[in-house]
Amino acid sequence: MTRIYHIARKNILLRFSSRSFLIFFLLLPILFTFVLSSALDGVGNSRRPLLLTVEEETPLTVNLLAELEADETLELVRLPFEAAAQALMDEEATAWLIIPAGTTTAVEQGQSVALPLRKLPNNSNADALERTITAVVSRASLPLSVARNSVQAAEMFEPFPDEAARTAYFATAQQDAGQLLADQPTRFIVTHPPTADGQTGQYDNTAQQSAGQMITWVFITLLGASVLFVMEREEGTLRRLLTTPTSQAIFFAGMMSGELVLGLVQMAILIGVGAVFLGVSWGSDPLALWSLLLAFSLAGVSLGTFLGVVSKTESQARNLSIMAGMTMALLGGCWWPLELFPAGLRTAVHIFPTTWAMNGLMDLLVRNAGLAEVVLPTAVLLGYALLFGVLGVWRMRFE
Amino acid sequence: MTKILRIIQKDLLILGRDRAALVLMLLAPFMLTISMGAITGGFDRTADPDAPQGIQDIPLVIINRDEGEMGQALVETFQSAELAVLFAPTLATSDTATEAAVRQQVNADGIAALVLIPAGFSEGAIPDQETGEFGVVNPVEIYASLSRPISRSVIEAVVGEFMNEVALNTAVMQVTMTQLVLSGKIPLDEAFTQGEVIAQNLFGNQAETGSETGSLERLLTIDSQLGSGQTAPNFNPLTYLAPSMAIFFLMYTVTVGGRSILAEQEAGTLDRLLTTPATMPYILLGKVAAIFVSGVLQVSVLILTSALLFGLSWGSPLAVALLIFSVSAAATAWGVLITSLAKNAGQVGAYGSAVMLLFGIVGGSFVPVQGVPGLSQLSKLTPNGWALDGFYTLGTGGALPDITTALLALWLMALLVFATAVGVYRMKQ
Repeated sequence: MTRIYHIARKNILLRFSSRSFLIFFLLLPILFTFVLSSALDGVGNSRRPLLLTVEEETPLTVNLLAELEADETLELVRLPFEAAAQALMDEEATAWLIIPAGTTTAVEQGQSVALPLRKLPNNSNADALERTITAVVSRASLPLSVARNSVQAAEMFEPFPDEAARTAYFATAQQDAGQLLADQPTRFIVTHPPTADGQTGQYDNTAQQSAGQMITWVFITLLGASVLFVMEREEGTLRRLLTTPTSQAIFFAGMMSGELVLGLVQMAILIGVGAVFLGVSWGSDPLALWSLLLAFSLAGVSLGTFLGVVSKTESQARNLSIMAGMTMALLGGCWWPLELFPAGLRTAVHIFPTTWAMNGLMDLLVRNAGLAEVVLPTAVLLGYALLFGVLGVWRMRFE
Repeated sequence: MTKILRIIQKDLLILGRDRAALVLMLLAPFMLTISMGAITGGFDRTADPDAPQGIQDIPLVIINRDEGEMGQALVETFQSAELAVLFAPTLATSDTATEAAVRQQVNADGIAALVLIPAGFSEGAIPDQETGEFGVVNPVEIYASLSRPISRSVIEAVVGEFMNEVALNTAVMQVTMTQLVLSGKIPLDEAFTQGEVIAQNLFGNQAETGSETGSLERLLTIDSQLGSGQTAPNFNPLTYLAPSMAIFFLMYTVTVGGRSILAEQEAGTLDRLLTTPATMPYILLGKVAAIFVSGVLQVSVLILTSALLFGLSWGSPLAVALLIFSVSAAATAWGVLITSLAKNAGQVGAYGSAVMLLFGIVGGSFVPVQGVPGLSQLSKLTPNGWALDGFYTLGTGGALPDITTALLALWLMALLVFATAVGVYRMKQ
């Protein structure tokens, strides 16, 4: 036991001997969590800037503006045409809505008007903005459609004496329709499965990003065990150690323990940062949370050990662990919800430990699940730990 | 000049033999491009430029307990050809045991949502033909999985739009008839008869069947276009992802090159080089040029292979070449700066990886940062931010004049950062 402790301690000291390790251990994970929480908040609840150019001030456009302003996800930035075009080009916002001159006249004459919406491509915030704006404009358009049909029906019986009478009839119908539509009862509701403690569940994008980034960066740290293995081998310190009464198994256990402690400490810090600065609730069952995280750490460190055994050089091990860590995290749903993946891929990615860890964490964070609900992901992660551990030891025996 | 070329040749040979470095320079960007392409549906777009982007085949179950037309109309909306790509709906029987089982499926995230249409839904939406009164409104329930926020918002949007139609059709008849009577265009006692005629005119021939689900044209709609004026659906995410990953790993390449300068110093080969007629400025110039050339080669290989494999196009080859040269120059300058600040080759590797990741996230290589307050401005401090702007412009139909600002910014960055690196190096001497 003492030998395991000393090997573990040595490894931790070795890791922190380079100040740059702290960058990967703390700085980058925290930065990535904050950035992704802001950048991927298209389905979240923060306000997004929408560039807006209004080329005419009429009751119709004022009403439309009021509807847009009332939406709690939009932050309207009103600019003249040229300035807005420049602002979109400068990517100060992801979308720009134009209400052209002549809109009101066209609508009052019963013509349809398509309001131009310019947006940046390949941008989830722009897509979210488009959905919101389409819904708001569609809603704002309802009284207008009613008024137009009312005017058309009136004209079936007798034509209006002049344009002013027609416009007045349109305005009255629009007002009545607006009142009637505002008084409509609720026709649909959205509910979610209750959480384990019987509360109403709610999706939380910040929780998704905090959990995802924690998995990503801790996984990279744990896979970094491979570098230590190769270092020991390259520098000959492994052979020297094995001349002492230390067995391969003890060495293996010591190496893994050190990395395991490191991973758990890193997770504890990131959990704390998420809870304090981002208000993430890490569930109500600490035992379930830490069982899952311990199993994940074991899986990660075992895989790291295995990579260390199969890698030939230190740089090969370092590069392989960063690449494997990033790819598995990306495909494991740590950056985007798995629902975005094509169906086949969504199933296939369950081959990665990161997918199981992420699913388990989301169960705990979003559904407030308990130990019983995360038994499966925990067991699968322990299975990975066993598999890679056995493969690592087996492979090491041939060296 | 020959000496510089020899140094470039030697460094490129060493780099070409480093399999571990090649993995990160070429294989890793491809792996990540392919992963992100699979997630974003970029490959579907490569095969078919009009293929839908984003979420598809949302699995949902509908239980319809309504015996009227409105419930059936909602079911048909989800089953319609227009929404076939978006939804994979299943119609389940309306018994409570099935409902409980479907709710369990949602709880277990087996499906995205249950859409439960309650009994009497139609009565609350269509007035009674005899009395003109509405029945009690029983709301439709969308019971949605907590793990699928985007699916939920899409389902909610479809149901919301359907309900808008319901409200609209109801309001049309009420407002129209009220106005006709109040304005004296029809007498009150003819309202019912005339109402049927008007409904026929407004909703087609549906009054006969009592259905009021016809869709009235909206007077205000949205015409969505890309910033450059192209119609939105034709953008292939791979056009953005491929250069994103290439530029992200370019930062790795330049630090590998920078590391070689200090490695030569540590191994004593730099001293050996100095015994030859090559002077220190020549050697350093050769090393920096080697970093630049390896960067250009890496990005060129990745961009060219992406174009060939995924059928991507960035327009003018000259513009793409200039952009690659410019971003490689800026990245090389950063690589030299990191090298000048580091004490040994190991530090260059560690700081280089950190800067690579930092520039990657801030510069938009992982997620677009446009429109994110603070970040979109910060991204302009990185080669990634400007180069991605350039590739995005070219990928969305822009030409060489449209990327002039990006090119100038990258060269300005190269000059400023390189000058800083020289200053740091001199101070250390």
